[in-house]
Amino acid sequence: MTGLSVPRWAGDAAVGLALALGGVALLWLAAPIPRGSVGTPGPGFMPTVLGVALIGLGLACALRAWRERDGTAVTLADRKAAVCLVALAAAALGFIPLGFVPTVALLLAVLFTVLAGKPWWRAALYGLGASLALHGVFQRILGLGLPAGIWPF
Amino acid sequence: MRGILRGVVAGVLAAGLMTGPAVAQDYPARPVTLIVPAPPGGGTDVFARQIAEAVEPILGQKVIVDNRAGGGGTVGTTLVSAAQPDGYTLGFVWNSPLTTSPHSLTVAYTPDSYAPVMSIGYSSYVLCAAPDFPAATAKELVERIKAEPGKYTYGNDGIGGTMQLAAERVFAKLGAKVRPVPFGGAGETARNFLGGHVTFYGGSLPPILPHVAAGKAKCLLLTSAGRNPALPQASGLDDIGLGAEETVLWWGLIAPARTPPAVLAKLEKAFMAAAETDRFKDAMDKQGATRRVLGARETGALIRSELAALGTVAKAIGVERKAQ
Amino acid sequence: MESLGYLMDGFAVAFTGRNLLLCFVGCLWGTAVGVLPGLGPLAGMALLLPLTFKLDPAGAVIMLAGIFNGAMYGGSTTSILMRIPGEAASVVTCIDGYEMAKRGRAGAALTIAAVGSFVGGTVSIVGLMAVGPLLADAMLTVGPAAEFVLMLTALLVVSAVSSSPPVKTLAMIVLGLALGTVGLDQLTAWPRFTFGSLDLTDGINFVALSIGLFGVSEILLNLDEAAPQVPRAPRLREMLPTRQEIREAAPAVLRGSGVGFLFGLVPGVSHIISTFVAYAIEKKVSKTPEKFGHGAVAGVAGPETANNATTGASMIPLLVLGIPAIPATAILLSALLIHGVQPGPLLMSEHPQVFWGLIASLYLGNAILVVLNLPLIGIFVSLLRTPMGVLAPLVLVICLIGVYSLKGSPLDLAILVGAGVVGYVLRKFSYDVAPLLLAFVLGDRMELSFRRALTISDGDYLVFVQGPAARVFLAVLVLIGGLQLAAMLLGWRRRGAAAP
Repeated sequence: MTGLSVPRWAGDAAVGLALALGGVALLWLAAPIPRGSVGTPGPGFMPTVLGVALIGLGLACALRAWRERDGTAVTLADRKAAVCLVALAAAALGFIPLGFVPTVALLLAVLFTVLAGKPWWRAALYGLGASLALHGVFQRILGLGLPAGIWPF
Repeated sequence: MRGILRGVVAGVLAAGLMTGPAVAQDYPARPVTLIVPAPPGGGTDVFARQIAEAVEPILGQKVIVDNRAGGGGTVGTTLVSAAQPDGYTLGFVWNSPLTTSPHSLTVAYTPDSYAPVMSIGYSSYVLCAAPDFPAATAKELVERIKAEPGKYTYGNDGIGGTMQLAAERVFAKLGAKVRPVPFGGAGETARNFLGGHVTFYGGSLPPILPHVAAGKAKCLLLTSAGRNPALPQASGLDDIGLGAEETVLWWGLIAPARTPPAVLAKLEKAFMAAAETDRFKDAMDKQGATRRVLGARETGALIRSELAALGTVAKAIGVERKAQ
Repeated sequence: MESLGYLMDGFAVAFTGRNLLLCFVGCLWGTAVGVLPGLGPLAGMALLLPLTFKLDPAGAVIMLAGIFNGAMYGGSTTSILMRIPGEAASVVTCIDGYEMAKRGRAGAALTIAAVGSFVGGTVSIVGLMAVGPLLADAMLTVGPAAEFVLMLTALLVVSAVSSSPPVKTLAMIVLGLALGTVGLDQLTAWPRFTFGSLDLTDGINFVALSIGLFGVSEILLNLDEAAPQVPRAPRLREMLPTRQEIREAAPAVLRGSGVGFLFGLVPGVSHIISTFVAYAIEKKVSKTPEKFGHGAVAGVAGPETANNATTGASMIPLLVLGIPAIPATAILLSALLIHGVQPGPLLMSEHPQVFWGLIASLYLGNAILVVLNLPLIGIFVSLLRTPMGVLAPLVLVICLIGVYSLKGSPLDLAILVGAGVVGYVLRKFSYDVAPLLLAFVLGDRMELSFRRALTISDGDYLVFVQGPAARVFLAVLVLIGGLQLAAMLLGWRRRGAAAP
């Protein structure tokens, strides 16, 4: 297994710190929104309270992780998961401009090659077949609107 | 969606290959996409689908309804405004994204970005009180709320929304102050009104009608100029001398600006004829809406005057975002 | 018994040929998505939600209820056969169900789960007819102030039963609430955190967020781990429980029905609570508590029954107060809203056909599962035999389709992927994402009811302790909060004592 091996406590603490940072960002974004008064809270009231709470709880999570550190490690994003994620992100980007069939055929071809270990040409063939089949089921039979993009039919 | 993308692709191809704008006599040469900025199933969607069906035989082309909900209708309206002005992308909208949302949201369109084609009719909002409220007529209601500024509350569909602005528009002219309490929709308003949590129900007619029949509510004032046969006891704004302050929920057809005038004229005629078909009349009756078919000029004038009037109200109650 | 008539009407609607077909298709599809990794009742319903726009309200609800039932059952199936809970509600089933499967009693466990669910459904229908209309009237007194206290209580309950440590759960709840503040503020028309996007004025899309957090992250997590053992499908003959097993299961089913129903009436209480409580009760009353954890029949029958009884009873808070018990039932709610059916205390009196129609179709789905899905279990198990490398890509594509088909919005696709990454990282370090999602669902309404209450009272905070409804909920809040605090303090003392 390749991938990023991190101590469990470090990752846990990093998530806590990220949450705290999220709280800071929330406070910063909420700053221009009127907070109103205690009696009549404005639209910025709740985000401000939540921002403060998130900073506190995020730090508490990080502290807890540090206090309970042990030797265990966690493998983060091994090759398969990483490829999967990048491919999915790319597919989400291309889904509308390129259209359903080309994007999904490409996504499936990549994933079948990497995840199922199929030779690339067979993966490509399966990918195209599956995307056409899915298109048939969802567009033709179920009548969902799928993006056409550059796909002519 | 597929329809639009295909339309766009086909449009680009057609423009590239044949050059020159679509000729009005040939219009419509292919299916027309009708963008509905509301989710499927609601009142706007029902009217859009009914009128699309009614107009198909008149235009001699298919009309494809494409629901593009989001942002209180502003997402779909933006799409219509930015579409190719060739008459193949139209929008069936209600008035909120045109005359209400631009005050609180930064939208990419103005009344100059789209061309009004026609409108089909409206549905009024109504103000109702509990049966034991000390007022039996709209006049008495007005006296009561003017006598006790800030004492009463009214439920509405959301601050800065058309319903609330409609009510505030009237209150402003009366010099009355009633505290607005927004709810997630007229159904939720009805429940809180019946539970006694707000003084007045403010919203569309259908959710409150059964409770009027059951004697749990008395509706006193409509936001339309005229009265409504479904609520004979409620006054219209004409009755209290404020007929000019009418704000109602209405529906109409828009096209991108710069759509060829000949195409617009053809659409206006076709859709106005479609609005006169029996099946369409029936659909409007079923939803409790009042038919009032207006042409392009009157609809355009309505949009501009309503936009200005609601802008004044929005500024007065502090929901206008443009100044900031 | 006025409700009985309405229920019969509900069944009459459900028993037309077309609706039976819809229910059957929903059950099949639901079971399939429930068995597949990364897809649960939520994704399964979300995917077919746009399709239901084209149906009439009754047909739409019947189909969604079928998917819901099927997916819950699919979740039980993988819990028993592979120790993988498809849904939080079947976590408990894993314990003894999987042990039964190891002893070759998988078939019996599946049958007991299905029949138990059916009985649980029956009990909850009878209960609903008895107390439903009464509760609906009482709930008219719930105004904005009481609603706020109620939602606060619901969140506290969620945090009390979450599997991760309290501080992590609280952090997830706050994160969920924060995500819920995105969008146009209903009280001031202020666009919060929308960055000029009109699409975001409606807030973050719930379906995209939840499929990302649960579905996509699940797939990524599965890729990290070694492939699980794929079991052999039980033969039809093995599906029949022995007489001894029936004797053990029967009382557990009855107790589970009662527990499930009572817990389901409490707004915001998810199935996970009722199933855990049912398991605990079974262990307590059992003459052979040592068998629990080693394939005790009652340990499957009780929780599985409670699970389904909870679903029935939770229709009251869902349809009367609009508070979903689990994210999946939030989809049912949005389907109703799309068809113009507003939840509220008036729903039962104004749209009895919708209320009882939904109950009838949930029940019908149960029956179809018992009659049809038990024999078909082999087909679903063979789905699991598909290698992860083939299954995962297809599931991801289904997630994409499901999110896209709702609104055709590119933003929703971005939210899907983003939520997938966030969910993956959070779950990797044992932050439970279920409280996040429930807080997200409740958060918007919670803030609004808080501010609405203050608008009505003109800034007077005493409004939150006035009125019978607010007081009742407040009492529950204090009780649960006190218990939780006590448990936390005890936990600290024990940890402190254990430390060297």
